[in-house]
Amino acid sequence: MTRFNSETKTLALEIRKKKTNTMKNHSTRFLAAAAALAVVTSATAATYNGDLFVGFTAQSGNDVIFDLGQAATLYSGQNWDLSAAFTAAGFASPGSLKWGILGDKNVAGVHFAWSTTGGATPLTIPNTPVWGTLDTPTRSIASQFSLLGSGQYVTPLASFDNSWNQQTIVGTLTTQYHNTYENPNVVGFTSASFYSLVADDSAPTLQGTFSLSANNLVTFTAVPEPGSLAFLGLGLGMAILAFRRPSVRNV
Amino acid sequence: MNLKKSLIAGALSLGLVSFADAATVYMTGSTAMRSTVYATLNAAGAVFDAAPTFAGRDGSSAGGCNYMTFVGNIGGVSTTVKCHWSGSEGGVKDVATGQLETFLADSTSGYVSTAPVAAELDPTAHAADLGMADNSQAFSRTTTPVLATGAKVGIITFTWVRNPSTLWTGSNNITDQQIRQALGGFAKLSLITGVPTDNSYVYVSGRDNLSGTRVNALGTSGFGIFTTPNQIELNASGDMIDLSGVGDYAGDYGFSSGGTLAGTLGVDTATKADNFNGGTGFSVISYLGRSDANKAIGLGAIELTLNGVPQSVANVKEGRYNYWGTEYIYQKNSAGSDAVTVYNKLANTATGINNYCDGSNAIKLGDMHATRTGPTVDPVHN
Repeated sequence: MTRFNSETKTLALEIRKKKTNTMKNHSTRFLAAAAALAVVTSATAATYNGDLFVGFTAQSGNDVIFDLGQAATLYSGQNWDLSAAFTAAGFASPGSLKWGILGDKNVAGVHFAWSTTGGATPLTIPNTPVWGTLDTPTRSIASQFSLLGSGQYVTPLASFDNSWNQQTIVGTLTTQYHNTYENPNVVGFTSASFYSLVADDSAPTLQGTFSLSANNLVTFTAVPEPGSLAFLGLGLGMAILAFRRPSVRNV
Repeated sequence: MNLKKSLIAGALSLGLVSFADAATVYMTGSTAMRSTVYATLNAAGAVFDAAPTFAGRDGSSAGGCNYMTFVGNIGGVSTTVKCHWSGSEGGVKDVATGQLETFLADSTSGYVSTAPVAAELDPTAHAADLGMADNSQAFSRTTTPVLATGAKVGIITFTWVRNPSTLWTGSNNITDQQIRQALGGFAKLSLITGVPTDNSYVYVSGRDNLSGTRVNALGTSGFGIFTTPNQIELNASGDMIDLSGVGDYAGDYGFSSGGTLAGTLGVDTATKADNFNGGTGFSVISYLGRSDANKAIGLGAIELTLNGVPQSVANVKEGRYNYWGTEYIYQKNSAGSDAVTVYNKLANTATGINNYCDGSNAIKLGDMHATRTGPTVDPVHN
């Protein structure tokens, strides 16, 4: 029993170490992505620039595909108002829409992808050729935008090959997103887990959640990193000390 | 004196009237079908009353020119037909939406193989009256506004080739699955050769999104007409071109002309830098119309069988080989009477374009034993 506990502790430590390393790597890569952003923005609009897309579909009529901007610039509490896009698509009841987020980017040879799930950890991406198979549909989705950038949106027919409905749910082409990777959608006013992935078979990293609210806002909430939690703990400790010290003086 | 002035004025006005009556019909679309349309327009009695006067630019032969002008009489009326072959998807878009194209100037004469200089082009761009398309509008990227008048005028044949990369050993065959991966930009050569150590990449160098040859390639392979490919372009030395000037070596790019594309496929790229996936050495596959493929093969390219079936007229006719398209001619909605006259002559199955299909680059409709409704649909035997 003691031996089992010891092995379990060792395994837990290994996992924690791996997770920390992965997070460190991701942080470095996110910084690299941010640095690369300035270069990428000078590219022509027709070329996919790695922006994240949130897509909505009622599986009939028109879909909405909305550009959230670069993953590297996300911050906790950031939100986007989808009201105009929903009106343009003629959505009567957004609470029943299927929606999700995807995107990918090659940053100096490191191939990233991002995807939402209903809570489960998404599939790993083993290598660059597999990353390529989900980059193809993502670029196809992007090809509908005449201009890419946060706040831009398109409203394709749900029957069109590059609509959200076809790419992520029902399309039959082997090159469409849900056939090359996973269906990233959740349903209605809820939260979706948002993961980042690297095409090296490493474990997906939970970056936070996106939520859709009844006032048509999509909001990102980041998962605090261990370092942030440590700082939070330290800050809390100092606050407690600061609260206690005057009371000592008053004695 | 007054009489003389009146006569001069009368003569001038007659000249002006005569000039105004000279009809010009503008045509665009499929580069793969340009040699067949050339043969039709150039033949005495097919469209023009007698063999017309021809001017051409930008082609290794008169029938291969991207710019053509034909001048003659149709039913006794002086008529000019100007063609700028910009790709069949471009043709459908131009004719359906009224987008303007550039044509040769009236003063340009004779045949010159090089591209027209500025002075040889009409400074005014024109909307196209007629368009040739390698697939029906329903399977094009411009499905609306719907063109009310169109007709089938033949079968256009395509094929796949590869460049003479010495990295590629073994079978010269390609499958739809391999094509789909190569179109995405990340297909390892080992996927095609079966040799596990063939770690270099195979890219597609192809046409731009105004091309019907491309629509048919993307459709028949199952990649998807609207799916965005990662295609590269090579220069004459076989080096990858930085397509947007920011280190972008693959993307939704491609050549506007099959002839130009064919001219880049004769170089061994085994020692060239792979600027997209890194490393040294890569191979290239490409899709071309039959005549452009012949040009590429003449330069050193190697023809590929598709899914184990070689491209041949017999295999196309029987539906065994599936990379081909039904050729259409479209007339713009509310076209003028001169354009309608030319359309009717070209669309006539017995005496128009269909009659001039040579049995190699294009096949007559009546010779086919297989039918398909579009590039995403498998051919069925009649």
